[in-house]
Amino acid sequence: MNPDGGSRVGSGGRGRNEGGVRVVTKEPDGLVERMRAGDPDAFEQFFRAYGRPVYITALAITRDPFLAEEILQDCFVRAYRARHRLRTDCSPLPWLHRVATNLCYTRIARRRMIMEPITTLISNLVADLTARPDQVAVSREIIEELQCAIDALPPKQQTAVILYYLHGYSLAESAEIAACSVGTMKSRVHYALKALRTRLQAEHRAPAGVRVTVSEL
Amino acid sequence: MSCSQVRRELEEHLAFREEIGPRSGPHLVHLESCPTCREEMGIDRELVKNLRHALQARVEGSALSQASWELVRLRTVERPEQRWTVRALHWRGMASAVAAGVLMFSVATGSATLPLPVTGSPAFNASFERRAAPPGEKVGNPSPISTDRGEADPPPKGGRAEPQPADDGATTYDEPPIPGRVP
Repeated sequence: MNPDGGSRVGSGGRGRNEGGVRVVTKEPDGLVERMRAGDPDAFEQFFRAYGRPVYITALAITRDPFLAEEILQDCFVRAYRARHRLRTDCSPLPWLHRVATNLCYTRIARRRMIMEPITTLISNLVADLTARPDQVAVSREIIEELQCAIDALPPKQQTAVILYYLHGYSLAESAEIAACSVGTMKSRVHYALKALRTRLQAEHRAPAGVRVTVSEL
Repeated sequence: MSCSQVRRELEEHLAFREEIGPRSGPHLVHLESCPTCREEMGIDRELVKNLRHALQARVEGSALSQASWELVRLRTVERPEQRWTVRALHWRGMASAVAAGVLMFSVATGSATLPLPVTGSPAFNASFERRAAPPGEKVGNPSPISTDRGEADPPPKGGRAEPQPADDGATTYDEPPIPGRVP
């Protein structure tokens, strides 16, 4: 609740880190205010600015482009309806990410989706066309196994690796999006990596024998 | 320095892109002399690298369709928000439906009370005049609906009540006294 008594939606969440400092990119000047005033162009700008990262998050979780688009649309419809309560002092991106991830897991639970879509095959073909020499070495089998292992992660850990390793957000930014502390986010990433490694080792996919040298660190 | 300490320290470096500072010096010295730790660190490094590839593969080659914004626009900007009067009408309609339901339920269960004639209405006046008029005198009934429902003539004094036709057409009599019982 705000001091003025109204509940505001935005990047705020429980367990805020960094002493309340907002670390995710600031919103374009006055966009939310213009949306509140009923400017339709402002809402389109809002969609263009934040649609892509939200869609990437939804797609990475669901692995279904159609479902990801549905979730994106629902997410922005909610943002439009909540425009009078959106915060103007920070970016709405963490809130949008949070709404999108919640919608993803709700839909997944509802549909009991089998997460083996055709997009994996397409992306493999795309990867073949654009692969660089260092990427060719990556075993497709291991990647496939990893995809299954990522799907098997608990939702919070899955979100953590997507925010941290796919979007490239810092720990503090990821924590802000997930509405948790930096320590919690670090712990989620750590346990996710541990679970992935255990799963790969169980499937005999761990790249044993690969040794790191001090100079590589 | 144990292997687990070294791994814990360097795992963080691999997982969280942390800088190797002066405090990592002893760990690196250990790593140079320990092939097991080197192998473990190699596995972790490959895992993070493959994880990035796997996540990229999930979203590679996909883009938002052109129709996305149009669909969002149709559901938001193009859709006029309902005014409070429209919402109130919806509530009124719902209230009427609820009232009708309650009425139908009470009629069906027989608990409905028929409306009594209102004082001053023609029906009330006719009923009042009928009660006030001497027996045998006809009173005009201005209402086409009979209002003397349930108004029966008093039984003759000292006599037995005549059988009255019941609503269902059957004839009813007074209950006879039980023999041997003092009334």
